[in-house]
Amino acid sequence: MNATAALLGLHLLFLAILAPLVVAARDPRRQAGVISLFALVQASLFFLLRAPDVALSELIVGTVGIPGMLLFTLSMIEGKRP
Amino acid sequence: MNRVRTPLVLVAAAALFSLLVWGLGDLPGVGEYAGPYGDVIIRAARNERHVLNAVAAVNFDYRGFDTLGEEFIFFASVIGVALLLRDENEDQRASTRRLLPRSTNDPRRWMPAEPVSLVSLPAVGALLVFGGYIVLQGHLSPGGGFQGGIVISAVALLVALSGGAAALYRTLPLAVLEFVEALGIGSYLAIGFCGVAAGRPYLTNVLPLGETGNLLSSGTIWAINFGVGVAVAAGFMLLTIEFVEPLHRARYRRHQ
Repeated sequence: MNATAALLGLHLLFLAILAPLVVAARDPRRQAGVISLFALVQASLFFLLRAPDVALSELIVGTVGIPGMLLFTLSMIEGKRP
Repeated sequence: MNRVRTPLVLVAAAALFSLLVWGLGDLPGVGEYAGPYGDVIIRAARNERHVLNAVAAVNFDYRGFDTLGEEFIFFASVIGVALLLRDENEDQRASTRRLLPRSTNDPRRWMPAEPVSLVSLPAVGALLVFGGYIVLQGHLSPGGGFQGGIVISAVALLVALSGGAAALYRTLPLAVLEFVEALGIGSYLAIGFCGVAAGRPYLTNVLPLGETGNLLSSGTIWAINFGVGVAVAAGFMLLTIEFVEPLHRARYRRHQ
């Protein structure tokens, strides 16, 4: 087993741990953080699989975009509460 | 209810799991590619279209019409978000914008923590250069209009983080972004008509192909890629502003 295969396995293991955690995080704020971490590991995995362009998109959309929109929406909802 | 549901879910999950395992067993190993399409396209893209990044050749030429559809899905989603989140008409918008506190001493103006500005502001220049590079080299190296465009659009988030809505309005005026977004989307449609003008089907690559590996090569692929980069950058910036703006308006109203 060479180094790349080991690294690949490590990434998949992390993803397998993080994916249920995304669902298990009931507080949306905390969920935004876990999604961000999940996407970071995904981006790293895509880079490892020699798809740097996909990794770049995932890095911005997954680690910044989706959690960012989630947090913006949450604070918008809280602002409207009396 | 639970007595029926739990076994039902367990049976379904077991069935799904065994199907997955069965399917995974026949997958080729990592890095082993069996199909002919990829090999054909890599050779054809280089010889027929003078492109080094075969993905760009597929997206903007061989499957250019599909990407046009995707581009309009993106356009429609940006418009959808704007429609949902804009709760004022143009006049009201203009007046609240004028009222947004500009002075950094104004307590109604949201100011970031200093370390946030310290990290965000220098990153603006770096992201612009990196995103521009990814867009311009779309036909030569991995990446392209979409990837470079979203990298550039992250600038709006950084500006919002370091100065709030007031800084956004001054550096990235909404009217300019809307115009640039429309220009980017429109350029895709217009480039398609180059083929029609030359008496060939819509979206045919009729521009001069140039020399493989040069920045100005690959004909319409380069032009479409650039237009997509412009549209995606402006579109995601618009999205960011639509999300940031209501927060700052609410803050201003609370302090009034």
